[in-house]
Amino acid sequence: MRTLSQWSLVLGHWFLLMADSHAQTPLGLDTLFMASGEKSVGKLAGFDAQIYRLQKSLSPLPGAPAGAAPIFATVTIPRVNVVHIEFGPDEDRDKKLKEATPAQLTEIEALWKQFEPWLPIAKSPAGDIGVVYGDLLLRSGDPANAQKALALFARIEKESWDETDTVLAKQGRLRAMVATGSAKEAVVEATALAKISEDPTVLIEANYILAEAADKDLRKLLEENPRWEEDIYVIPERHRLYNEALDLYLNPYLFFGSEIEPAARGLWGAAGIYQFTGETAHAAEVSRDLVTIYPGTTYAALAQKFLDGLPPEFKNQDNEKEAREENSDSPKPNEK
Amino acid sequence: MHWFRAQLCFLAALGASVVCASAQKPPAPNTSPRISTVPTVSAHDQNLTADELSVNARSLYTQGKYADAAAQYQKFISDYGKAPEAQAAVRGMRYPLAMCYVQMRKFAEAKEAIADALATNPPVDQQLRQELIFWKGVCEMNDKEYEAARKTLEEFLTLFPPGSERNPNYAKQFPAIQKVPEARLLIGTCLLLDEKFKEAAEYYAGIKAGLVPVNRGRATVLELYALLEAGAEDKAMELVMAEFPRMGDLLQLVTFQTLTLELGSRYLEKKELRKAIICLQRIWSAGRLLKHQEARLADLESKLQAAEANPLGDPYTKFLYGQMVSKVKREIENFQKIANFDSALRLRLATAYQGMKRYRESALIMEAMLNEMPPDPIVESASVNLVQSWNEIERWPKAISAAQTFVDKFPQSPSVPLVLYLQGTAEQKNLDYHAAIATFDALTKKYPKSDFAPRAQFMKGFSLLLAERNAEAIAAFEEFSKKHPQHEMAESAAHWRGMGYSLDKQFARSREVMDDYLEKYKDGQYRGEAAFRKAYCAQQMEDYQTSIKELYAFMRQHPGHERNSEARVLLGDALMNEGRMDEGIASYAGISKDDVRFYEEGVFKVGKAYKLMEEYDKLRDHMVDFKDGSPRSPRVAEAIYNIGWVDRQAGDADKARDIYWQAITEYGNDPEIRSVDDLFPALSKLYKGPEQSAQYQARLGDLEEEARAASKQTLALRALWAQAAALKKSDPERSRQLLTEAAALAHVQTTNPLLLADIADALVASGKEDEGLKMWRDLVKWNPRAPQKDRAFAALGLMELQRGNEKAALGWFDRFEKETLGSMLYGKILLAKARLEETRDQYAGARKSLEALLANQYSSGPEKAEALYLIGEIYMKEGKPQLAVPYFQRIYVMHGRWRDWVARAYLRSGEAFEKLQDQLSARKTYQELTEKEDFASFQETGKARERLNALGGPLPKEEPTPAQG
Repeated sequence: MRTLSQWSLVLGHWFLLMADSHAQTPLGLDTLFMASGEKSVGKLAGFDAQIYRLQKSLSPLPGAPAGAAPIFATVTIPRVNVVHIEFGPDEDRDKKLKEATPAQLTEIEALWKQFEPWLPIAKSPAGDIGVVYGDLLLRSGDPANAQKALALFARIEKESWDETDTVLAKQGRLRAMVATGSAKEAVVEATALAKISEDPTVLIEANYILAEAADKDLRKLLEENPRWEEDIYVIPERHRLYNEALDLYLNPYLFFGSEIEPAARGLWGAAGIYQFTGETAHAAEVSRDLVTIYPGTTYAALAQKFLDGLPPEFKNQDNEKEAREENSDSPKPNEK
Repeated sequence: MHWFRAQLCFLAALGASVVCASAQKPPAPNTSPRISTVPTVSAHDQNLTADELSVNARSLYTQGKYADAAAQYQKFISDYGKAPEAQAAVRGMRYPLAMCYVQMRKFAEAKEAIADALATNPPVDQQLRQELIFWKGVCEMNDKEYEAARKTLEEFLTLFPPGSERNPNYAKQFPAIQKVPEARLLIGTCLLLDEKFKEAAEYYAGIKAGLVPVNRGRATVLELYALLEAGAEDKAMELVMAEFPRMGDLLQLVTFQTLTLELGSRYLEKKELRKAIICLQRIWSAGRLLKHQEARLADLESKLQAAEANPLGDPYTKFLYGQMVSKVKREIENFQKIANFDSALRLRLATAYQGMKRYRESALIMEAMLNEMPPDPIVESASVNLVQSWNEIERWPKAISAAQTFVDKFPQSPSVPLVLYLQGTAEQKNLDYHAAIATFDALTKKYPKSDFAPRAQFMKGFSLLLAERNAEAIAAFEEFSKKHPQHEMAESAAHWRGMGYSLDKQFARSREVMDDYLEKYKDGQYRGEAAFRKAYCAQQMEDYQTSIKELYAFMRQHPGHERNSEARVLLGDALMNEGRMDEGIASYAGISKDDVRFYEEGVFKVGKAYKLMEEYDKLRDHMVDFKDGSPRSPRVAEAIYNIGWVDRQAGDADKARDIYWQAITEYGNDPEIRSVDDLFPALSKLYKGPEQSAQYQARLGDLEEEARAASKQTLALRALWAQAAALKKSDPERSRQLLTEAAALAHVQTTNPLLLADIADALVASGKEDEGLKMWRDLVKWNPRAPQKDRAFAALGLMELQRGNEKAALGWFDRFEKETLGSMLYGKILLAKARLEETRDQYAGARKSLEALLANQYSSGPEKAEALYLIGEIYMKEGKPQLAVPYFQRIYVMHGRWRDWVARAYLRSGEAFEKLQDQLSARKTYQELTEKEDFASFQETGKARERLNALGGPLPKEEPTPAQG
């Protein structure tokens, strides 16, 4: 039930022109595998609930000069006849996606617009493109773009055929939630996601944002209530914020300790809380963690500077050292 | 690491498995025209010819029947080996015979056969020699001749020209080259098996770079093992850290991670806790490891299938994939046998933090274990530890929640009683006494035989005392004594039972119980406390003679007891009551100055005694001593008042004033001595009449000037404030002016909030609203316990309201309601709050505020009348006139004095009845108002009359009005 019309021939020429504009890197052709066992190769141009539209190149007309522009025709193929589609590879597009920065936002947006309709179609690259586009929107730092990203990721998550893209879109959506001020809600989903995706990035970021918020609120509370210890109405809130900030700052260090940068960043945040509350011994302990466990990080350098500036009573007080000394003092099994 | 050693032995045997896939086919005898292709005859036939033996052996070898093949080869060699014509055939059989033994893993026989094969003359072909030397090394390894094996394998490596590994043609001709990487690894294995761990580690480190990724990974795992065996933990850690980023590529990832766990455990044991953390935090969870390896296995199996499906594929590739599949499979199988991997890992990490007294970190890890991991013995034990850790850092809600989760998750655990006990303790510390009582009670009932049951019984009694449920506490302690008379806490229970009676004001019974205690526990820890309590109870029963006797005895027998000062106060009181004034004074005077509260109480009781005894000079001297000795005491003003009182009694008003002025001058510039501010109101009372008041003000003016000149800002501030206070009624404008002037001298962090409040009020009243609000905020900020907080919250709320900042206003009003008690501003602020809530359509909130106002003893009559009226109005707005009427009626029934509210209430009440279609009640209500003569001038009365007429005019007199009803 293929149809070929004059109009589709015109479209074919238009397509050719469009293809010419990308002449440097010709687009790969798509293959439709039919239920009959046949294959149909061309460039997919659209679809609706019933049909796919495929641009196919036609043989040169009899007597056409060598090198004459090829002629294209659009054929419509009922969707029921198609078993699956193998979308043509496009190295140029893949490279663009891989190397895209927020400066290419407009270009990637155009690409997304082009592929957007194919999002639910199995094996289409639309989800990949959408994820990159969403990522760029977030990286642009524009709050309006963050909102756009939120909607985009939600759509990919819902409509994409590809499970990998769905997971990536979920991560993206959670990052967008964090960027749009819904970190708390994001943490709940991110915790569940981290368990299945093995990528704790979103969870770590969401927790960090919450930690920073608690840290900020704590500092504000204590600035407004410098004598909080005398105020029974402030004490519970101070403890809540203090514990919340510390627990959240320590989270990546304790649960994703091999994620060096975020773990070190969190530890330095905890050290900051301890310094702020005057718990210098605790601040020194976490600073020693930083220096020993994450020596190459910028936070370790800051921690070292802090440790260097400590008075001797804090410099000499090292819980790990004490534990070692106690251990060496205690009788060994063979001494018993 | 015995398991790993077993794996190493397997590695030694690995070479043997290589042969299965890659040993050369037996070479066709090159000199044997006699060897024919006759069908194979029985392998066990003893009467075979040489030809038959030869053909048979080769056929059996090809079929993989190595034992039979070896028997045939061996028979041929035994039977014909000495025959000169058979030498060429025998030579050709040496190699397959050796390989048969290798295949059969009979390494001793193989070694011998290989030696024979290598000794043939002319020698075997180079490709066979290469194979044989490789296998010679393997056999030596299996024979535990590690040094020899290493040398043989090193010799094997020399058999290949440099660069030949990359030459496909060479590999085709000399396939043994494919065993070069294996040989390299086996050399290291020889060192390991020879327990030369340091050398092995160095060896692997040296060869790693030249190996393909798969073998590089194997070398890494072996290197880590070698380092651990060599005790080179720090180097092992360096390796772990270096490999971590590409750890996912290691074929034997699980082994690598298990060795890392071993390394972390070693550091933990040596208390190198941060190093332990470095290792432990680089270990994946069991689920992640399995998922990763299972995905790898699926990938390898798929590649193997692909390789096997390709008939032209490289056989060595197939072999390698096969090896990798079996390695990963075996690793997965072994790993799946390890129980509690995750919980053991997490517990180690938590232990590392606990070792550094980092209870927060350890608790957070164990909390995740409890909440996320399936129950196992390690999680169970960690969770008990978790509750203790939260208790250690006083995070009571966390401790409670963890304990509850534990009981839900491990209901059959033997630790449940302990955990419940910890939960009850946390609840008690969290001041939730009722919850603590319930928890301790549940423990005693559910686990009566547990060691913690008696403790819980005791703690239940103690929590009941804290909850002021004294009678129940007594019962709990009595139950304890009955059930656990021999328990170590029985003594405590006996004492606290007596305390319970005392707190329950059953003083006689308390004395009896304390007597029992003293009788029973001759060396008891509470003897001093019991003796004191007995005397205290006697005193409460006004049996002063007994209390005096017992208090003297207490002080004598327990000289350093913490109740000593309190006992001296009690004794002084008792002696005074008995008229033994001098002894009483002596008792007070004996109170240590370190015990400030009781010391000051004693000082003023002595003063009171001197006053009663009319020994004014002694009173004066006593108070002067106190003033000089305790200038910072908040009771200094009281002492100066007493001094002045003595002078006034003596008719010397000037002297009385001078003592105030002297104290003001002496201490007035010290902001920390806040009692100075109390001196001014007392001093002002010593200046009577307008003339003396003017003198007082003039002197304050002088004081201010002198203080300014001497840069005594606090004193100048106080002088200004005192002047303002003195002028407050007579010249409010000047008073405000002085206070605004004083603002510049105030320091929010140190100035008495009493002064700050007056200054803030004055600033606002003078139009300096922002400055005033700032001062109010600073007052709250720096004086969280200031009694002036009510004024601050009220002023701030009203000002925000005036400025249209409704949310901010509500915030301040909420704080007023929550944080201030007994404020005279309560009614005013609650009214303002309710009005604001009403305008924001928060009717329920508004009603709640107004009901609170009505219930508060500090609300005034008009405020209560207004509150009732507002509640009625709110119900009217909500279309509930039936609910509004009672509130309007309460105004004219209970607050008739506030006539403007009464008039409004009548009118609105009548209107409410009209809305309810109760015209009779409406008429009666309107009529009642119109008949009140003293309400005739009210606008509402006129309106009521209009409505009354509209409804048909006044009713006949005999019917009672709703108000009367």
